[in-house]
Amino acid sequence: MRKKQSFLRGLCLVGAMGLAFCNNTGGETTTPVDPQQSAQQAQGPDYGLNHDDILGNIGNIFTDGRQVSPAIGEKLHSCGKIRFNWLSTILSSRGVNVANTTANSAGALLTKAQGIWGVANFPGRAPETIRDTTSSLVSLHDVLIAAAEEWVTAANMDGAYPAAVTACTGAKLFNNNTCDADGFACLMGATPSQNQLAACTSMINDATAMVTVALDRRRLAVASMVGTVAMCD
Amino acid sequence: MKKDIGLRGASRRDFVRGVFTASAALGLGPTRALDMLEKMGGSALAQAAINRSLMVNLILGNGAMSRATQLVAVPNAIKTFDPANTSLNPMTTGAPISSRFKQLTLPSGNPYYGRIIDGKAFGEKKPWTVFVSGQSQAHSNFPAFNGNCTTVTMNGNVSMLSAAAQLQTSLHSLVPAIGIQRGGMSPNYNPASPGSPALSAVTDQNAMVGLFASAASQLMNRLGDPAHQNLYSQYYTALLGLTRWAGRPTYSTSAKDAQTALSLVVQNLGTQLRVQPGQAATWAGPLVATDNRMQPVVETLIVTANAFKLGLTPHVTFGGFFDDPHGAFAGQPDDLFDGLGRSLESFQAFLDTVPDPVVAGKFLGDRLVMTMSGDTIKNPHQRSGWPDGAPGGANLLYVQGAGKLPGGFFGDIMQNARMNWDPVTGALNAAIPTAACTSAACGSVLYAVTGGSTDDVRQYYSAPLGNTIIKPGTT
Repeated sequence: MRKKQSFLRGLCLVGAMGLAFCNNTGGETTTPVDPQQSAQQAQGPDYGLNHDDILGNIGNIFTDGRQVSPAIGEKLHSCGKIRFNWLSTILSSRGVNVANTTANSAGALLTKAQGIWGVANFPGRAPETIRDTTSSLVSLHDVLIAAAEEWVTAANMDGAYPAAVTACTGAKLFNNNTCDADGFACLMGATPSQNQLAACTSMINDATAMVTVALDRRRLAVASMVGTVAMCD
Repeated sequence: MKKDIGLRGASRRDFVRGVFTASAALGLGPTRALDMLEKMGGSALAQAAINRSLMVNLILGNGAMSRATQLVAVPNAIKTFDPANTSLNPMTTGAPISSRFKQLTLPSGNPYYGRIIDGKAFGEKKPWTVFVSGQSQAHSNFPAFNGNCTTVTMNGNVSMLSAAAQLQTSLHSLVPAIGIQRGGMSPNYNPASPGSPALSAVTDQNAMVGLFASAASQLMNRLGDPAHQNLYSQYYTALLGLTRWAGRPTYSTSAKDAQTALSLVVQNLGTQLRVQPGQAATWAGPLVATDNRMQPVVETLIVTANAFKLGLTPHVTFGGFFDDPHGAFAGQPDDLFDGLGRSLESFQAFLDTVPDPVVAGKFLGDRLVMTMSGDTIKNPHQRSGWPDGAPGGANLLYVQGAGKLPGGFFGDIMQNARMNWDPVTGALNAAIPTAACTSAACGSVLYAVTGGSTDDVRQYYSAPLGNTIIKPGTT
């Protein structure tokens, strides 16, 4: 107990001396300060080059909505790539056989796309890429067009989700000759706008493009609808 | 915008140089200089000033880097040639080594002994540059192979391959960088340069074709039918414009990429990229074209050449051989040695006939950078069993520098020691640390990739590039 009290007294003494030192206002040890220099050092080397005023220009977050610098904001609000596992999960939970090894099937193309997609390479110490590349987008088209063949078949022209799937049960992509809002919402992650649905419906009924098989038009419509949203996370 | 300045050929190049010189004198950066060029001479003139090179990197892993020493020989191995011990073959037993390796006299004064293939020395038209660089690391492959010959560790910290890929992004190719995997493992691009493009990894040369030829484009019920292509393209484009993010400037790059991908997915470029019947035999030689080590290398080079010609990518890295050739001098070793050299010469010759779409009067081969690196060069002075232990743990980096590097050897490998070289003077100097040589070698390669801009190299390798290890002013 005595030992502890001595320790605390010593601690207080050292602290008091330290405070006294900090409060020492003696003029003889003060280093003159160049006011211009101190102003210039406000954004010193720690901040790097303030190119195009991108650093510290946060603005008023309550009026302009910006909470980070424009450079960071642009990065955060741009199109990020959907992670490979997420895409696999979305597809499999909606009835696509992602383990399929048949040539040109969605599963086979998905497996083949892993490298192009930039999946994490742990032995190579490379994380999964967070931005699309042209080639990853090409593979996305390829996979979705193939997946559409599983969603819409000759026996299931309306693209009703299989009963066994874990998501979207009971919904269907087409309702006779129109694109169904609920069915596409479940696939796209958000309800499509009226304009998107109108374009989709137009596509499946468009006879001017010389695609004579209605099944093909529907499949391409599904791939193009999903493709425009699945490219960004 | 005025574009009425009649500039052609040398006057055009002089004009570009003049603008850059004046900009430097006025304290303006290269961006401002390019801006001026664009305003005065149009975007094509500005583009000509930043003409990055194309790049191919052949990684000879698992002992196979030793094969490169049979194309441009280690100088000391030639000078001390002993048929019983040196790891080199004359044309016939008892003949002098000059029957197999031809000495070239280069303006740089560097020693160069090129393998005689089909009557000409390897690299006779465009000599290669060889740097004593990095450490031997026998039997390793990527990614375990740490790229010790291709990493800047002094005056910077970056993978030369990653930095090169980043420099080439200004070419705006469809696929910025391709890496062919081995056993599911990609080439090592670490430490990656911040902002460098992701490597598009594929399993082999056929999968590389697949990068540019979608499955959809090959099936009639998908996009193989032109009518299907039209319908899909038309509505996909319309739907892109209807997304919630359409019109946001931060998404514009992705929207452009999506349009490019769309134009690609409907095309089947496979026929233009694939190896044609008999082509591999023409490039590598009929005796080795079907060898299971040679075939992937020559076919990858052919597909790469076709991809370069179509402007689809500027950067390909792939591994080759992986055969740990301890017994390479037994039997008929020259067919394979010749085959590798002939393939590389054929690759260069092919691109030397493809007009450069950017610079009038030039060819793609004029801005082709090739490198060969690997795990170990084995011992150039010990023929029996060709053991892995290179003297001094030396390794080599072979570079075809697009005319931006002086040819020949920098450094040497003596009987019992490595001889490093001075990054400023290029002279032999055993006291120079290996990291200094390796980093300077990588800096030189990046100089060639930039098309001849030391300013652009500085962000990756900050030490000055001595005028003896690059050819300055060759923009």
